Amino acid sequence: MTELINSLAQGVLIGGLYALFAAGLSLVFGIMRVVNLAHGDLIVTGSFMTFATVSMLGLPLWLAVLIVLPMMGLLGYVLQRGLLNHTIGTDVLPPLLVTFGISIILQNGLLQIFTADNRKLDFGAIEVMSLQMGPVAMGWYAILVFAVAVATIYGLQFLSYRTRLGRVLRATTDDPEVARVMGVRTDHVFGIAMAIALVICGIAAILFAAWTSFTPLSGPSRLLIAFEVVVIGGIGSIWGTLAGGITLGVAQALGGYLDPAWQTLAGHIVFVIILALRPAGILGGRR
Amino acid sequence: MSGYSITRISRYHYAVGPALLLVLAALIALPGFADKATLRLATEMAGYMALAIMWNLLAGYAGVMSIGQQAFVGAGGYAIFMLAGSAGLPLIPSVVAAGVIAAALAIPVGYILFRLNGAYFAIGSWVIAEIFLLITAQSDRLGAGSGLSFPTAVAKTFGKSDERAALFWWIALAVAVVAIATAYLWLRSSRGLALTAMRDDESAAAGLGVDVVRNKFAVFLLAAAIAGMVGAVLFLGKLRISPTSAYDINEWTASIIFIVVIGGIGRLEGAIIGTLVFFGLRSYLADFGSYYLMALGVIAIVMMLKMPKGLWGFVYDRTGIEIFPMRRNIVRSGEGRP
Amino acid sequence: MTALLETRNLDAFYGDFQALYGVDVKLEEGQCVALIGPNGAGKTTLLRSLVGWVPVARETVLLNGQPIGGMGPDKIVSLGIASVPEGRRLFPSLTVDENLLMGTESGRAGPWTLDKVMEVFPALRDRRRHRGSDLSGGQQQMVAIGRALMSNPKVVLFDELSLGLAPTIVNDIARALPLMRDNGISIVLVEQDVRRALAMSDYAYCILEGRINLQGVSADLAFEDIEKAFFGAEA
Repeated sequence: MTELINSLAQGVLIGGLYALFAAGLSLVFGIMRVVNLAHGDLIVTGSFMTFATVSMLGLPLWLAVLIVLPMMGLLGYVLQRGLLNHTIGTDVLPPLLVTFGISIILQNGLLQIFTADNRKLDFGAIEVMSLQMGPVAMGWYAILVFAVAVATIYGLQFLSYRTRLGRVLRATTDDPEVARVMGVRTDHVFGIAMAIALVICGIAAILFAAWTSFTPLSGPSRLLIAFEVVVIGGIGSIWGTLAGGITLGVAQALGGYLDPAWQTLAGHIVFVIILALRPAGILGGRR
Repeated sequence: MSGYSITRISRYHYAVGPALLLVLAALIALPGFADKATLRLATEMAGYMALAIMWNLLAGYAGVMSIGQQAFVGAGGYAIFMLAGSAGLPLIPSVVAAGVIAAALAIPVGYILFRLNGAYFAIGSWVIAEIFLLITAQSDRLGAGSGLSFPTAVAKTFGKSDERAALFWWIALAVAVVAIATAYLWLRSSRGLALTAMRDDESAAAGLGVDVVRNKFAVFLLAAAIAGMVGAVLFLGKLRISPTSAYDINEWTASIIFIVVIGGIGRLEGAIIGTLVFFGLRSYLADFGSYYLMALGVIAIVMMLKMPKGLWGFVYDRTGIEIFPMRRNIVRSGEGRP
Repeated sequence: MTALLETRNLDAFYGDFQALYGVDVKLEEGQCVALIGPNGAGKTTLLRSLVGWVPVARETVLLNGQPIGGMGPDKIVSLGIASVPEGRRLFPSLTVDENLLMGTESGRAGPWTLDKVMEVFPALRDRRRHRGSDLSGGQQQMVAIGRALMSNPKVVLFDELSLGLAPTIVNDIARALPLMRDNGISIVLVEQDVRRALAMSDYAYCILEGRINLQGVSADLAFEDIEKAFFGAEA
């Protein structure tokens, strides 16, 4: 029983990380109507950036954060303005195919630079310390990850509803054509949105890099998690990503509790069940 | 004043039919003059071409963007290992059965996926393929994570090594021909018109009484059946199957997308020319490993942005040549093409 | 003297389809010009060309004599041409205040503030925190106009001001037009309701099949001539 509660608690906490994987994907889809198939690979790219600055250059973690997050933001802006803005239109195919191409380029580029070896960051003692509450033990690192996730999502919420940029982002989400007539430079706004998305990816990437080991090919499974979280939590809902993340994390924890080999599968299956039972509810009737 | 009729045939097309038959005859006779390695390559090409034709039909005409076709390729591969391998059933019916099984699996899959829109359909289909992979990897009867080898005793009943290669080639060729023929006939039928209408304007097509989802679903099942048969014949040729090779997104979907993008989305001929280009690049550049794959990614992106209709679209826009005529010409009766 | 806004020999296309043929219209400072004509005649296309939604040649649209044709909509609004689009098109997930504030994205300085818009449309006062999608059609139209005013424009383009609204509500809204002109704003009006269009405007152009086939001072235009113009010269 204690073991079950422990794994459920772990599932809730990893849900925070999953929500971070998903928040950027959701933001980008909401504004640009583009599902970025390279999303997972961009997260892994962030993890490798962190790995390179901390483990290879030997810089302290706080400095790595200050380097990686702006670089991710810049990468997002450049990618959007330089490439992805040229694919936006009525046809869903071009953005999908182009981001799929980016995914393949990133994976193989990372393989070329970092090889296929498993990597992991070492954050030191915090990774093994845990908080004992009665019979339940929760790792301090997992708690930290969850706290960062909640803070990030709160920040995103604040940005969206309390700032001028957020108002412009939401207006552009509603109706990009009219937003332009109001004077919004939508090309630039799309770039900013992708930059924000990739900064969130960067936060997820740094946390992920110490959570578990990763390789250049870890991207697609991050993408699938992010996607499932977005669909479960409801498209366009900021706090929904946290709910979706926790749902998926708990599903995986339960599956893994029954049989370690079922962990990932259980997450996918819960996703499919939710999709089958609440198709219109989750998609908000868009067809 | 003379009357008008609508025809798909323009003058040079009278030469296309005989030319196609000639090519087909040469391909059937291929084992007479090609060695085993060539036959294997040709088998692979035929399989990829069939997948590309179907992916083109899905994405280019029906607007269904699936990146989970590996689910059906893998299912077909495992089906042939169980049917013809373990159960020892006759080969050709087993290949057909592999297609039927894949299509049958596509029914519940489609039921779930068609609730998703455009881009979400894409990732959803990928999730489904992952589920296929994970379940297969858990199944001891399917050899779990390490997979299955085709029983040598059964393989020997198909003949000696080069006889086998010829047999598999003919099967793959048949699957490719079936894929091209069904796609072509489908597009020329009233359903095909409906498909094109769907691609151009979904809501308008719905307004005209075209059942959009049903049409998409039908194409999806057809594509799954072909993918199952391709999986069957290609894994027969390898004589080994494992979950990661059977459900490999890079092999069975990324390569296929590349072929279609290079050749030209929305053109049947594009899949053929794309297959030739893809295998050409692969034979020269595959040794470069990651760089080769990165180059494919770059080429696909550049094509999508600069030449969105692909190589065949480029040719067609300048010459009007079609191997499989889709365009309708209005012809004044008693005259040829003006 | 150069007009505030004018088109010179304006052609516009949707793909291969030509929607406007050599259209010349003029808007003088302080004027209200109406564009009338049957559905599909090209009124909305003309307006969309001015807004920057339809690509046109640079020299065919002039603002104070400066060519602005084919500039992006974001650029055009920053030059002082604001629009009230057909169907209002408020941002449904933004509140009334947020919708109005979107007008300030033009980056233009000027007298318009949230409070001043509330003076023009007092009906919006207790709706400021409601979402655009929660408002009645008339209130939505008020927000759409207010949003255009918040960009401190020289010209406001109205597309189908009265469409789908009850006549009394249209009267309420139309009261804003003289007020806008007092503030030095010139107006282009696309309107189905010919009598109303003539009553509100100083000058009118009648468009048929992409061409101007009748124009004149609104007060002088006879309704019969306009009816004739609607159905084409030979009818």
